[in-house]
Amino acid sequence: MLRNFLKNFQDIMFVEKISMEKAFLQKIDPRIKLFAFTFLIITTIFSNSIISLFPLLIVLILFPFFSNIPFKFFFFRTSIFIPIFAAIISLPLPFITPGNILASFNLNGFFIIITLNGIIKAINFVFKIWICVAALTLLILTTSFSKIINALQFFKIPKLFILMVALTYRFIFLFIDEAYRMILAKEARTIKKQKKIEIMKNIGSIISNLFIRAYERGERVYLAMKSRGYSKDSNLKIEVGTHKNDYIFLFIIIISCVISLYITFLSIGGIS
Amino acid sequence: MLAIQINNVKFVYPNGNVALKNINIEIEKGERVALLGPNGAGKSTLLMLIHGLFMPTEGSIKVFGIPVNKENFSKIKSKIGMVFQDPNDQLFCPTLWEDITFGPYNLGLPDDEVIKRGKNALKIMGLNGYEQKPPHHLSIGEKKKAAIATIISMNPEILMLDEPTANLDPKTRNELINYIKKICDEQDITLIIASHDINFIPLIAEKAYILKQGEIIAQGKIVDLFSNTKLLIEAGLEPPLITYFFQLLNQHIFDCPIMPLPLTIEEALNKIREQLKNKH
Repeated sequence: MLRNFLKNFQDIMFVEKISMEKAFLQKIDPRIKLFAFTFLIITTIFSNSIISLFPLLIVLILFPFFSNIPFKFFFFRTSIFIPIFAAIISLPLPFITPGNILASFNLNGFFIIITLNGIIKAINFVFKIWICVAALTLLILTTSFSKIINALQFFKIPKLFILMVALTYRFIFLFIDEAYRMILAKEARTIKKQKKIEIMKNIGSIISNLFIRAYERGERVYLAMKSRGYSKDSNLKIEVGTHKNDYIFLFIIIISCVISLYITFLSIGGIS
Repeated sequence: MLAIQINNVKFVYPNGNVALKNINIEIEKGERVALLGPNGAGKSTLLMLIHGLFMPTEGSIKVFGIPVNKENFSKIKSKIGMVFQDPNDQLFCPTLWEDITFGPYNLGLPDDEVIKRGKNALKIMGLNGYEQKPPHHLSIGEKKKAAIATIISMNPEILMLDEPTANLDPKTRNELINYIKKICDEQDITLIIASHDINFIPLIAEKAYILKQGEIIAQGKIVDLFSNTKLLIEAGLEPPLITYFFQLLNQHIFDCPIMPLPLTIEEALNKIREQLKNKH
């Protein structure tokens, strides 16, 4: 079960072939893409109503169609983990937010009230999270990792942070593979059905072993980097190119963000 | 001119494990030397010490007359290129091109020179077209070649390879040996190979040091060392099959023993031809 999870996790999280496609978003300069999606996320944070989120939602739903991204895959990827987690976090909101009462219950003297404002606030919160996750997912799916690194360098993100991100990306595959091999080796020697407590024990020992291996590999990688002249001033050098569609893309994002902000400031959304 | 001079080196790991002791080595510029020994003999540690990645507990090491110490580390690393045993340790960038240009950029070379060296390294190692490939998409053989390319692009005067043929299938192994030979032939490079797989050593190196439990137990020309199968077995090594086979032929078949023992198939063929010629 665990090995299936690891393999599927790797397949779902790191689909690089999509970034190799020659479609609309894939052709956009990574620096412009990074800037635009960051701007979109900031706009999302400032929006105070569901209506103000609509322009952003439309843009994010339309982009996958023009970028050869299977929508089902995109929806699945953006709707698991974080948005579901956000939905769980926002569960108390309908009960604790003051506003128009939609329903009330009396449970042995305890009055439970559900408000319309609370439900809208919860939905708003989940949508906001989904938009942020979708924007980042689109960025990752349509941009090769080296180009994202390059864009981060362009925006003067600290070198150490960039190097850490690059190394994490490089070695996450290695560790998933290593964990996968360890689990396979464990399964190969597991004959009778194990009790849950035994499974948990095994997983614990695999994880601790993986940490030790990670530490040892970290040491070896550092030595390999040092031998090739790595210092704190070292930089990863990558070339990027620009495309004519860049401005169209930027225009679409800015327009949708401006509309969203306009709606927010006019408070057309009403209930926030 | 001496490329490497090691005097009475001892190295103790922080956990108290004595990895090397009484190490004395002299390697001339342009020489091709093998460090042979079983697992745990101290070969990799010795390479780390030569590079300056570890500092000896006792003794001294000089590279082209420059003492290996923290002050000279930049000078040393511009002269020595080291290929690690596991290519996954060496390839840490998102794409192969970035990995290949990482070293030259750190040497402070201008962009056009870096690109020239990067392209040349790819060509030498037969990796043209792999520039944008992420290292995790490469096979183990390609990773090994890529790891060597990352060092070739730095134009080192000394090339150190740690177990270059480990985990390779015969075809890839032969390919890699040919690439290493090509590098040595085309560039005036000093080569140090650490390995316990000694079948390919006669094809590349002319001199060897045999290590056992952190000490040098024998040194000399490959032809002399490999003829002494007893020594190799005592050191925990397996003699080259062809050499071992000829030793058995000498003992049981040939009236007039063939000496020195052949180290490669070609040498063996020549020796048999000579033997047959003499008989007739």
